[in-house]
Amino acid sequence: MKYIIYVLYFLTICTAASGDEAGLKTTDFYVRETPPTIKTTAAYGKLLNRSKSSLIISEISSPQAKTIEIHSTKVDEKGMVEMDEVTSLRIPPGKSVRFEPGGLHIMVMGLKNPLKAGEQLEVDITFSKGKPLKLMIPVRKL
Amino acid sequence: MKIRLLIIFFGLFVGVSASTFYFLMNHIDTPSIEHGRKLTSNKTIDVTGLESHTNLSLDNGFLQNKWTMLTFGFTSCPDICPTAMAAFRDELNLLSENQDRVQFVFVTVDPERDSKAKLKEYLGYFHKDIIGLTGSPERLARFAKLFGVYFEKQAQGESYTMNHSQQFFLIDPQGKLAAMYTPPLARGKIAVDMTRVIDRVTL
Ligand SMILES: [Cu+2]
Repeated sequence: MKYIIYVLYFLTICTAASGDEAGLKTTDFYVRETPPTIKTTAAYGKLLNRSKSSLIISEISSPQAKTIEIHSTKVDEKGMVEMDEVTSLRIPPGKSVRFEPGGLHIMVMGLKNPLKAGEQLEVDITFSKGKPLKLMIPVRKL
Repeated sequence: MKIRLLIIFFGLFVGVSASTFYFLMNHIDTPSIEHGRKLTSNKTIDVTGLESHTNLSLDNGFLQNKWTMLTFGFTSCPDICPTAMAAFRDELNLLSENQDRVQFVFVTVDPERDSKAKLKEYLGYFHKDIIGLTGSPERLARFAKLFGVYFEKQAQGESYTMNHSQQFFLIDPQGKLAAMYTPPLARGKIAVDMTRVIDRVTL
């Protein structure tokens, strides 16, 4: 019994550490399931820079989609919505960025296959320096 | 001293009448709209010339005898539109007892890519009762203008996006604009307002 608890404890540490690469901590990442025939979707979550220097996202891609971009949804005072690409997102040391509905989001375009709840989307993020980050983002229903 | 008292009474009188007037304007005229902004427009919303994904006939009877919640969007919009359609689904489910007295409408601003077949698949994913409307770009632009909104293509090659209004519009059973809602709204707010307007009209 004690042995099992140790194994479980060890496993917990392992999974917790997997969201923690290159001085980065990722939390609550998910990507929206796609309605039939739709090849565009968005991923959300929080990225915390735990390193001592700024991190700038220089490239973002996925083997499951043609294009991935970081977008920012802006709503003006008249309720007009516009999405703009954010080409070099900088995360200062100790700070985090939050991707959330109606704001900053990871825009996924040209999906090769539809995304269903329970599946995962691989997203690879390259920074201007340091190790790249590979995220396995779970797909969630809306 | 007397003058000062008189000024105070006059001030009180103005204050009380103004707030009474305000209260009456908001509560007697539209007792039901609480979570949206009331709109007073005599313009009748004209849907003729548009097409629905279910091939409903779109004469001006389409908006009659029902309360309609309407929004604009496009199916390859990943952020704002799915949130809106998930809200439509949730409110429709909450309104199931009144389902024959309400309708929820999604108007595409991207007729180039959003065929009727695509609207059917997309909207059906959220709720089978959401009605998709499309039309020529010119007809859709004229339609949007009735709501004081517009849309435009944001060129990005083949994967262009559309800038559009995120507002939800409530249309009364005479086909006139009644209120405007700015999402995101907490779940149930629209269902509450729509239930109240339905009840009020029955009285
Ligand atoms: Cu986007």
